Amino acid sequence: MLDQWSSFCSPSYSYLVNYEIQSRMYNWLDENTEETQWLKLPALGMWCASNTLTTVTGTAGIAEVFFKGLGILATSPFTNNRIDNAKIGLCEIFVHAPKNVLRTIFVPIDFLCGIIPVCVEPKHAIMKVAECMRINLLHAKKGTLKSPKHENDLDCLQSIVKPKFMKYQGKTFKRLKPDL
Amino acid sequence: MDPIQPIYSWNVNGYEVRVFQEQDYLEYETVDIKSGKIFFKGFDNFKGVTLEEMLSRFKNCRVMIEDNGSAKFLQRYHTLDLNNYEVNLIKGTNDLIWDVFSNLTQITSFISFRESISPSARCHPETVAIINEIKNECFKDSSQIVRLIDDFKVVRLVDKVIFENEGKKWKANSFNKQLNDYIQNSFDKNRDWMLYNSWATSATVLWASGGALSTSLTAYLGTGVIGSSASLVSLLALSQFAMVGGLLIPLAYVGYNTSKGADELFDELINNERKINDCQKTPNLIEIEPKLTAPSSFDPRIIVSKFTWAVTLITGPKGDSGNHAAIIVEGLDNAYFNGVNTNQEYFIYKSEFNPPIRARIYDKKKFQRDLLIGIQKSETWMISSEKVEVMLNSIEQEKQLQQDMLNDGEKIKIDYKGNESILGKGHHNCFTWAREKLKMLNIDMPKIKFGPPDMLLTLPKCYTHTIEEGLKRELTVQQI
Repeated sequence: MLDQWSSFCSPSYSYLVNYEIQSRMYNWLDENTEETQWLKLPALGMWCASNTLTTVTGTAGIAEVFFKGLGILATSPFTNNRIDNAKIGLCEIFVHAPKNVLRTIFVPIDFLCGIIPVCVEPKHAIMKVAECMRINLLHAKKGTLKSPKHENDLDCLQSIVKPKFMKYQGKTFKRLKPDL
Repeated sequence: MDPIQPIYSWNVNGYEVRVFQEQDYLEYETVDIKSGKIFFKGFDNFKGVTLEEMLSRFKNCRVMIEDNGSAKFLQRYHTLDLNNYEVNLIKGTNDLIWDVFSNLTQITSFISFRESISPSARCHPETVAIINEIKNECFKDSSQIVRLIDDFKVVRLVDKVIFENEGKKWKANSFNKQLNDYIQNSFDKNRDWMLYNSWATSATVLWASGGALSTSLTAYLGTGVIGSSASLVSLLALSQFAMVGGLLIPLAYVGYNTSKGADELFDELINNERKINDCQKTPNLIEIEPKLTAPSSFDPRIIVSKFTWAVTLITGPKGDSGNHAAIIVEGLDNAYFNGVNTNQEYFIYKSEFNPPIRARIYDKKKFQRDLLIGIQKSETWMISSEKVEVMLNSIEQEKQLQQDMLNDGEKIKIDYKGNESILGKGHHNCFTWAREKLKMLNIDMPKIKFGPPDMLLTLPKCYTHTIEEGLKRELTVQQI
């Protein structure tokens, strides 16, 4: 059971809150920038805000997972499946909490890498993050973050976003040259 | 009594052939126009043909006069007006014949269809193959005559003067081009060999002579500071000589072989020249090429027909900073897009990996708009429509496959980094997909702009240039 769980991200309320907020943020931005030409600044602002939020919730997530694991471990002698619960508690403390630390460390790197697409094609970046957050939120709700299904859904992200973005560009071009 | 009036008459090279109707048969006479003397009198024996049919055939026939004055009434298929000539395609006894009437000299000459018909210099090899097929089969197969009349036009009549003038130019150009190509290929083919051998020769020369020199120098000057320094300096100097020598020896070898090959090429050209001289004995050549052609929307210098289509890879205007690739096929429809276009209508067909794959006729208005917004293009390749159809069929099959996958709830994966990226999972992006399809046409996309290596990220715009830049580029031989 531990092996199966080790690759997963522990169900975390901090992550859920993060995706819930970011999903709303990016969807709002996506919907409200259909006609906008100057997207770089709002997109960059949103990117900075969302990364700050991810860092905050990621740090909270470390504490959350650690204390959750500690709680499960401490209460395990009083449950029916003592050994299993103790294992889960240890897994939360020694596997998921360090993984969450690594994920939080990775946020600034992700932030820097993400700035390039946000500056090059902000609308596409917004659409991509909005879709990514939708998938993350879905899996955070199900408790299947970082599961193979989640990875697979993220792999298909580009195939969802690209046609959507192309459609958006088509509409923009039509607005630019309505006579043709 | 009034003389009987002919029902039909033809003037051929100073003779008049008159046809008279007797009660149930037709009679003709060949008259020398100058002297008015009857040169030949006879009747054509149309076996199994009624008088009415004979009369209707006369309306559409040309006359050929034999040496003895007898006339042959030959069925006419087609008439063309070409500057100073009137050209008729007629059916002879064993072959089709061109009946060429010169308005200037008033002389009619008869030329063998098979010997005189020639594809124009602009014809693509596949078009030439079609012309050859028509040439060989149209006497037996009348559908080939229909094909010839419907799909081809006579560009010009090549007389001896034109032939001689163009032949000289052609010979010079052809020889220079072939020689250049030959030398280029020879050196390209041997580049790796030369590189390897220049290093190998340098190393061998250095090892053999350097060893001997340094041994003799140290033996003469001793192993002290002077002896060691002298042998080191001499070794350095020798290495320079060895490198130059190492490069020159294989270069000279390849050069020698190339010049030998060039001599052979020259001999071959001399032979070809003899052949050309032989050809000059033929009085006229009739050059044909596809009847309907259209200029490409990218570059008006590129002409497409129903036999030869233009294939171009474009990027933009959609995609991240216009980095979306698509394959564009331009041509005149040959019923491949049955029901979408009318036959021989100019079309632009776009195939792209969006995903899923989309392949459809590109609306001309939309194309013009996209051109204004910013499309970039690769080189344009002229490919026979048959080969392009194979590629389009393959795209259509893949499109169906992807549609089935989508219907089953599966998703089609795409990776912006391309299938060669070591950072990705081997999925195609729009460009690598298109590049793979173009490989079916033996097109190898050259990278023309500086950009990241494909092993990290395949950026489509590194393979395309602006339309304006394309117009400035020299066009290779135009083929339709």
